[in-house]
Amino acid sequence: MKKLLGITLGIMTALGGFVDFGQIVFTMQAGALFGYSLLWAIVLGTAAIIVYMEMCGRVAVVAKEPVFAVVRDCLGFRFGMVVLIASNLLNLITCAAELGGIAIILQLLTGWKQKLLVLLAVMILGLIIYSFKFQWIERTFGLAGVTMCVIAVSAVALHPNWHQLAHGLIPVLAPPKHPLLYFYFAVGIFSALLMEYEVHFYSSGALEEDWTPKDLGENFMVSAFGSLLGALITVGLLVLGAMVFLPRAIFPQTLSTTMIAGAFPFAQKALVLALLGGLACLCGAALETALSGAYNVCQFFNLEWGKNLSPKAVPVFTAGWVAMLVLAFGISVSISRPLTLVNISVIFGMVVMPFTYYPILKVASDKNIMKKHANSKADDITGLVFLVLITIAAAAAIPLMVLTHSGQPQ
Amino acid sequence: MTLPPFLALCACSSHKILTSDDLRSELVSANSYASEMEMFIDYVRQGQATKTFAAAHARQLATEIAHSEQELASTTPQPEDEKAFKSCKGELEFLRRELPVIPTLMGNDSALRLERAKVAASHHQFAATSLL
Repeated sequence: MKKLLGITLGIMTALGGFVDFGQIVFTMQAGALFGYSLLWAIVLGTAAIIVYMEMCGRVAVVAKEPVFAVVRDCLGFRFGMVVLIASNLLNLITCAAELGGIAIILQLLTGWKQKLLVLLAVMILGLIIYSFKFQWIERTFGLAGVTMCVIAVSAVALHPNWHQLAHGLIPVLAPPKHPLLYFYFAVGIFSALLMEYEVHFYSSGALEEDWTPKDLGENFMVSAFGSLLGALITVGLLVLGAMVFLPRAIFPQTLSTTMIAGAFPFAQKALVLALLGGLACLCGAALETALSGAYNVCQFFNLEWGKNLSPKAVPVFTAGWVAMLVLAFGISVSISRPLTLVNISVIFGMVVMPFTYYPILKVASDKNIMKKHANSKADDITGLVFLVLITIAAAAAIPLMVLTHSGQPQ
Repeated sequence: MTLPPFLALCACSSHKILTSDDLRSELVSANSYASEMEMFIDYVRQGQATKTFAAAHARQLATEIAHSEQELASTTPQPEDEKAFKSCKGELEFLRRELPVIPTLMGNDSALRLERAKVAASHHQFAATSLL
């Protein structure tokens, strides 16, 4: 019973950081433009994150190797360093975007000035990271993020056409209208679901919490069902975009507009709930990106790290997340539209993805390192299929971004 | 005699020529803002928004519209697109001016209804002139 409770808690916790600013905006915009027809991209992205997350967790538990130690060993120091810089720049941009989003939601709740709210958010988040243990950070924001389920409830309450929704599971390879835009949003949704900071945070957590091979069952359950719970909310976002915005020819360009859709069929209390859920998810994502930046650096250079250790015992790690928060604050207050940062983080996230996915797949398949916990044949085939898909999406991401002017409809 | 055309050339050189595709994108965006504003007024009328939310959302939307206006102001349309360009600028300006009014009308349904009709009329006219 205690084990089951732990797993349930883990599944709900996996939600923290899963739904972030990029995912909310990209998915709703996709629904507003293409109805349910990009549902397949959510399914594909969810399957990919489950595969990647499970492998990262397994590698961390069995090989006791965090992601960036694996990247360094597999790609070599020089190229690994390039990947580390790219990955941390991405974390920084994402963190800045999330901070901007947090300030927007706080303004919708309090009416205070946005720049003041960004400062307040950074100070509170910094204090939380400094004083809370890893498990508390993970659980607090994960569980608070469950309030985002109001999105899925709103979507169901609007009575979507289930037949049409199911039709969206089939990819359209030659869409009749705006094909470039269609594939831009397909890549965007896929990428937003696969944001690597979530996985790096998760696998570092497995090491922080001293998981052993006995916990591999829990690792699978949390990866699979936690991601599915997040995917359910993402489907809700797509449905709301399709049902609230598409018929009115609205292309949502502000976070506040997406929040209106989040509680559309209900009264004020649901709107407040959606805002609080969004706030929890964005706070979770901001914390995870800041911590991921510090984890990545320490793991790559083989330095002491750990949120459960005293900040003085891990000076580089502590300086790392503080620097991430301070720099993200600077970027966030100097850019007037956080949505610009969201576009950059989602698209560049896809470009970096193959370079961290491949080393993990390689180690997870290695019988010398993983012994009896190495990938099975089926795991290897699945992993390779996703590697090909991720590589195709990564190659297409920037050209699509340029050709569609970052997804502007015409 | 040659100075005024030279100055005009200099003034225009900082302006990007707006292609028909780019203009189309701006028109779609302005149309989206107008629809969004109508939806927002309905949302407020139905009592679904808190006062703080309505005021903050109106401010955020107005900032976004002002950004679009700025982008448009830094461009020059092609001669055949002049009418649609002016119509787009006019609609964006109208929406940005009207947005702060909405939260002040909360609780006054007849005033909100009138505001809704005003926005819808402008939207209708904009759609007709811009051939959306």
